[in-house]
Amino acid sequence: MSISILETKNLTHIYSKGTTSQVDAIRDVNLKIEKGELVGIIGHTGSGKSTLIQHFNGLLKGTSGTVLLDGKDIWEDKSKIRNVRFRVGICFQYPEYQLFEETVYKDIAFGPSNMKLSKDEIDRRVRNVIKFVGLDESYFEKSPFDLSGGEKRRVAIAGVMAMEPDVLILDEPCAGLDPKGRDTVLSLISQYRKSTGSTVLVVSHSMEDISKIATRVLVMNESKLAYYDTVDAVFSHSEELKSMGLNIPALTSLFLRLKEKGYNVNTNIYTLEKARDELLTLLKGGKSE
Amino acid sequence: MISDITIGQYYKGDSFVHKMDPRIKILITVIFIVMIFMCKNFLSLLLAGIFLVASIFASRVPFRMFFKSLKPIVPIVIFTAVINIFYIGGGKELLSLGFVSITSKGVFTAVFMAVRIVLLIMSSSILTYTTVPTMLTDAIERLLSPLKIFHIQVHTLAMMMTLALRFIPTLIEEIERIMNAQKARGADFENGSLTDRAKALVPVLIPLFVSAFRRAYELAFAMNCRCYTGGAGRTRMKQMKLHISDFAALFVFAAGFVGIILINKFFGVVI
Amino acid sequence: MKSYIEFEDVSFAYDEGEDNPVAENVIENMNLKIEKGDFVAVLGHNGCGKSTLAKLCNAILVPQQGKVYIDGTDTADEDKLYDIRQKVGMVFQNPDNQIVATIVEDDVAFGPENLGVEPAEIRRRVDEALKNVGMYEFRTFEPHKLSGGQKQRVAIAGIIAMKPDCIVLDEPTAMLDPRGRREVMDTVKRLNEEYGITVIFITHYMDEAVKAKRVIVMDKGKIVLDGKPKEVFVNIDTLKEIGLDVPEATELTRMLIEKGVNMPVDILDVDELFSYIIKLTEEKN
Repeated sequence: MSISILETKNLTHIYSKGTTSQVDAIRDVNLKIEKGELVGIIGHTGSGKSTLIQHFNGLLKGTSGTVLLDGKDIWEDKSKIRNVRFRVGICFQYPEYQLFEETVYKDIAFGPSNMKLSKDEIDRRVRNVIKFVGLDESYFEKSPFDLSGGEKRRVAIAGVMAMEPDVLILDEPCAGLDPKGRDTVLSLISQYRKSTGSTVLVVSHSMEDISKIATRVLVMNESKLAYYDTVDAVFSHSEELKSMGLNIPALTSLFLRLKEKGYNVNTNIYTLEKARDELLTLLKGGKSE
Repeated sequence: MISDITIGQYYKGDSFVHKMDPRIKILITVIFIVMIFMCKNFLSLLLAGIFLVASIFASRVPFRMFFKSLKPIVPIVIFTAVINIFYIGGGKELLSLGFVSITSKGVFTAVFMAVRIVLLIMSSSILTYTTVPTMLTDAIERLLSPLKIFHIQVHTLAMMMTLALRFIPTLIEEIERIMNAQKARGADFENGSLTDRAKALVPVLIPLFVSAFRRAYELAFAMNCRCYTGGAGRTRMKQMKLHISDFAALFVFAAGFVGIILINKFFGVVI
Repeated sequence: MKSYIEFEDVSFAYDEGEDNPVAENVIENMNLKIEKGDFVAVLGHNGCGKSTLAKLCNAILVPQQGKVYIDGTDTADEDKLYDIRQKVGMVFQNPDNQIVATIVEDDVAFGPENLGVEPAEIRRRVDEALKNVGMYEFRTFEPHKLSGGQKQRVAIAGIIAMKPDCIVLDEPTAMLDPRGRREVMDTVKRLNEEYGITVIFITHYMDEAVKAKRVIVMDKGKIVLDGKPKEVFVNIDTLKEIGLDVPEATELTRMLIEKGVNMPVDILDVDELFSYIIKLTEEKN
């Protein structure tokens, strides 16, 4: 049996009244994330998803309930909370705006140096991680501010990966990128998970992206955990998702509608090839009714 | 926290004070501040206090908003009070601790100063709570417009103030965002020596400056596209008109001013 | 008679500098005509020159070679600079960095104030503009308390209060969530349809470009494809080559045609595909 790497028990965070900023609290979240999963987190703005992920590395502390990392309460020893942040790495939205060092190398090394690792180990990690993000060592001496938007994004992601966290969380890693940049980032995330075996959580607004890379989908709605299940299972709730203001992947919706019309089709379809084959069987086999 | 800062926070309402001409409000605030510092005895201070409380009632801004605006300056009030207690001599000696002694005059001055600072902050809060920031800067621009003859770019100054007020909340959000991102990479802002903590701010300040410059550049661009060429030839949507009530309010405060001078004269100077 | 916007053999390169050692043409020998009342989406990946195209439309940039005419006026004519900027308004990507005032209605008033419009008329325009973008009830709000989509609509109101003929939006949805993107797209569409405002909508989202009347695809400073959405998006290979998305429905349709299914190539969305498949199965029975 696999071990849950991340678990929450009745996790609740209520903001005190009177704060002016937009609040997205979370209520009573119970969740078990298994090691090695690639979890897609969806929910519209204000649903609580950003608040939830900040509990996973102790940037926020729940007003009640617990977060367990590898079975241990992350707040058991308050002084060790930084170690939790090294084990659960969060890469926030538009991470390129956190770059600050003179060179790409130094910037990627910022996280590992905070971990007080040896110089050799830091060097090994920086060299290792630059490959994961599809760049090479020729970038090391460049200033991060001279790179293109997509490159900056990848260097920033590398900076979090270099901590070699057990759990990597990416908040909207593709926001603002053009289609090419988006595809690059998505594929490097999948590659990273495959070669390191670490658990990855990706927050995204794009159902298409989630359906392509995720093994499981977590849906937040109005501060509560609505679903945490396989991709197929979650997207089969198309009506419920729509009422939460979420879409389902366009292709999947086609098959759900066909099924509704009484056609005998599979609905767990997320790729063009599968869609084509399914439609061909429908059209050629004529298995209506 | 940083979000406690109340500068430029407008409290929606349509009270008499909200509707007053902002130029008159600024003038009255200046008069009131001078009044506070003219107070030489408790009776005159009491009169100033009555004026303030009456103004707060007239503004219909809840009292808790004023306490909120006082929160960040509590250390300053305590600091000045303490300094005064120990350094002002004269009057009866109340307590002696070897080289320092606390005197009645010292305590008196300390309390007096503390009350003055509180009144000062609260009076300027009435102004900012009841006046839309753009109106405030507009009013400052108009009040200072005579300075144009000295070739002072009054309009530019007012525009800079407006933009500063506009971007304070945006930059505060940005600081919080960057701090979270660096914390997630193990940055430590809470522990270590003072120099360690100052160093820990570098990863926050550099991205903050980079982003502030980018914002400034984009903003200048956007303003250009909206045909902004400086103050010349500009009109204003919101006109400022003086009403009789504005003059009445000004008169009442002028009377208060005279009142304080009289009280000082007839009831003796304590400080 | 000239078209409303005309590019005549336009080339543009940014100045040589530290970041840009070789001044390469960002726009190359471009000829383009945009008619009044059109809704043009400009599609392309980052760095293809689409933002430069936008800036050439309201004289922020002036071409080194060729001419850009707005309503018959040469953008190189410096005396007409502010006429042009009043006629062609711009909305940018980051909504935070184009809002000037601390109150929504004051911000919308900024443009007309700069133009020296009478106070009472400004008030009228501000109210009308805010109603047009559906932000009237937020007129006394502080901008930083609004969502991204709302801020962007305020920015659009700030432009239409200047009574422009044309709005150029430079990736206005890139930083927004799906709801914000929908809000902005719906607003812009309505302004085009109901008020006849010419719209140039720059984006890299293919699903937004599909909603335009005309789509221009740019790559390396040149126009690669130009036509109605249905004419443009059937060029699946060209679009993929430049690294752009293709509507999934269109691609799926082509895959089915390759397998011998008889259907039209220019199906753009899932709705259309759905009805066509229903039609095919019914024909069979």
